[in-house]
Amino acid sequence: MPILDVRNLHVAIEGVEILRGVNLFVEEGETLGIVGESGCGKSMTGLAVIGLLPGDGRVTQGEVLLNGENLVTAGERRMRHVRGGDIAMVFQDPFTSLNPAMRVGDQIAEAMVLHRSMSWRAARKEAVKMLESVKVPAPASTVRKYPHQLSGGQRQRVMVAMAFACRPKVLIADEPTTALDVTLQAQILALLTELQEQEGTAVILISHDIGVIGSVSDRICVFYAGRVIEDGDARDVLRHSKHPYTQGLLASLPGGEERLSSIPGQPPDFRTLGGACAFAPRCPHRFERCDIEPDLLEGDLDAAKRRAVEERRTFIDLTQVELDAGTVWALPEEVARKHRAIPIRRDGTVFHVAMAEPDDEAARQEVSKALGARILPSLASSDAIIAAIERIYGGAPMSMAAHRAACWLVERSEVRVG
Amino acid sequence: MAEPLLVVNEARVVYDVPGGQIRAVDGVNLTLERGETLALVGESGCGKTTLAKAILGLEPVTAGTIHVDGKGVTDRLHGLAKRVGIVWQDPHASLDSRWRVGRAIAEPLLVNGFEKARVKERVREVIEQVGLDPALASRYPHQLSGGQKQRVAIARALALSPPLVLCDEPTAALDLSIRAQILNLLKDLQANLGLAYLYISHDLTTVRFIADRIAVMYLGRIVEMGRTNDVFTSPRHPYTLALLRSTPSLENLGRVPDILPGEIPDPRVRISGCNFRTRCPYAQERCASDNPGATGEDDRVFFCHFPLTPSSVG
Repeated sequence: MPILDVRNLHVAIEGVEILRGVNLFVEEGETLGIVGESGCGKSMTGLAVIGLLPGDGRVTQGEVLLNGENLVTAGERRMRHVRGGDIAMVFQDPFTSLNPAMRVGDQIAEAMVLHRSMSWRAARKEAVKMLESVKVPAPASTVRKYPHQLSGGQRQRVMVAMAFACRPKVLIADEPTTALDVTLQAQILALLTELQEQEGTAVILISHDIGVIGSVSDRICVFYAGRVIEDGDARDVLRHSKHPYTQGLLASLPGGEERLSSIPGQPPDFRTLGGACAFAPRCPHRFERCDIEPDLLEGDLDAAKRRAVEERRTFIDLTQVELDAGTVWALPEEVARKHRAIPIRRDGTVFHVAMAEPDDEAARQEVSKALGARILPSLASSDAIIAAIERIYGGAPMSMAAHRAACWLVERSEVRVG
Repeated sequence: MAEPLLVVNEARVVYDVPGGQIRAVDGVNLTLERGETLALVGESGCGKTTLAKAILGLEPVTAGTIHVDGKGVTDRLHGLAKRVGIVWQDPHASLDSRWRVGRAIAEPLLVNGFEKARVKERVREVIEQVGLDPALASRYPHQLSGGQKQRVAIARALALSPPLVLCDEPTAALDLSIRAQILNLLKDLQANLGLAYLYISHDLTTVRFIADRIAVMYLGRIVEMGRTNDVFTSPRHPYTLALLRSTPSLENLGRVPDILPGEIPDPRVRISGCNFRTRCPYAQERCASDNPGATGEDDRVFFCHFPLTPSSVG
């Protein structure tokens, strides 16, 4: 189960709907990258999750589930506990998010006093350790410094220390490296990744920089006009993007060419959005169906197929098979071994796809026939399922998220990209 | 051979500050030909913007000389605007919010004694050159999008037809899809008008697209300079390599870029020998005693005692 699950989130500010049904989730130990241009709603999503919407902004519809608990309906007292406790944040500018009149050690300690019920004395000691873990030089003396006495890179390290001080389950990092130079950016990204691995934190990284997103994300959500318009494994989204907007963004990155391609026009005005696809006015593939805005569509399992081809295995689609929750379809061990089949895990629950040698009809038939020959009984957790699969196949299942795009083209096979 | 359009010779800009001196620009030599783009890259505090200000005459050089189009840049700025235009990073800040766009573009013309009767015509001309509708001249900056505002800023820089335009991070504040439009526009203008650009940026991917040559700066000094492609494919200075490796790229998905440890040191503290040695993985004793001189030929120089062997990347 995802640790944080945002479902159909709608947010309005001054009567204008700026988030229009955002769906995303993040799992323990996973990094979800959110990418999009100014005003697309990526930062607002982060703020809505922690209940810090600006002005009269409010959630008009949808849920933010933290471990199953709906934060949208949680009271302010509960949210104060969640913020900085279960969900921590790192913002772009460390200078404005630190208190200039408070020693940095005390700022780190404060979070632990509030959220971990520690004494100030113990929390101050712990703050030194936290600074050490974020590799600030001379942590014992740095705790006594004020933010203006630190360099930009060190201030951002202090922010990271504060964020991890209460062992959050989820970390939301909104443009954490945008104000930094590339060498410092690399340092902070490496630090975030290292701490995340240690603590098993789920990280939501928000950035306009596709390079940054690509270098650390497991999965990616692309935002446009207040919605997620594409999501999937980082590799799938960036190498085989399905949505024309994502394709346009990637094409506008400088490469070796003489001229850059660019997306014509401007992002839409939220006040004038009708029921049509918000990207349609700028889209080179627009057709009749675009008058109705599509939800995230998966089309077929082309990502799984493509990977099967890359791995030189035949793809067998099991989506047509009715699966009970927690039930795993598996190949008998000898068949799995013989045909080098790999199970694929999708979106947390195991969703079994088997693969064999390519272009071998006999093998294909054999695998198809053998499938379902063994049905594991319902297993309590996805961990148990994975353990069972590892036992049968002698390896962990390949993790693969669904790759979806909010575009009707996904359903038109003749324009499929990849 | 004709003299280069821009000649910077041993330029120094030194500030006296409490606790010492800051050598923001510390003996820089470079030239720029007509119609050419030279990118100045480096991290915050490396002196790239100070150097640009010195070329614009906004920051007096403490030592050395700067010549634009054969004439020296002095503190008498009269006429300099006809030789150098400037596009700043943030068009929102560089345009007066209470002035209509047309007036903003006309101002440099009026100040520099452009024939009054032709001002309107010229404004219209440059607005069209940057791909905007001339009707926008009567709008205020807040009525324009970020990309349109940056086009206006470019139009203003072009108004006096200077042969040299300085661009200080002109796309850093813009979104990706708009950035591509502006970069294309800069290239088109260069092709049509024969402009030379001194393009200042910390964004190496953009620089690779726009620049013919690139100069890498660190703590006030140029550490490496050469043809863009040569520098990217075969950096010789360790700092250049670190910058290239730290830049996230879609070619290396799922990898946090390599790391250069530490930060730019306090500029008030003079470092003996090579400026970069405090962070350099290859530093040896000699680096602390001697400041490395230039190695290499005309279009490829680097300042390092222990340069990387050619082509250690790619």
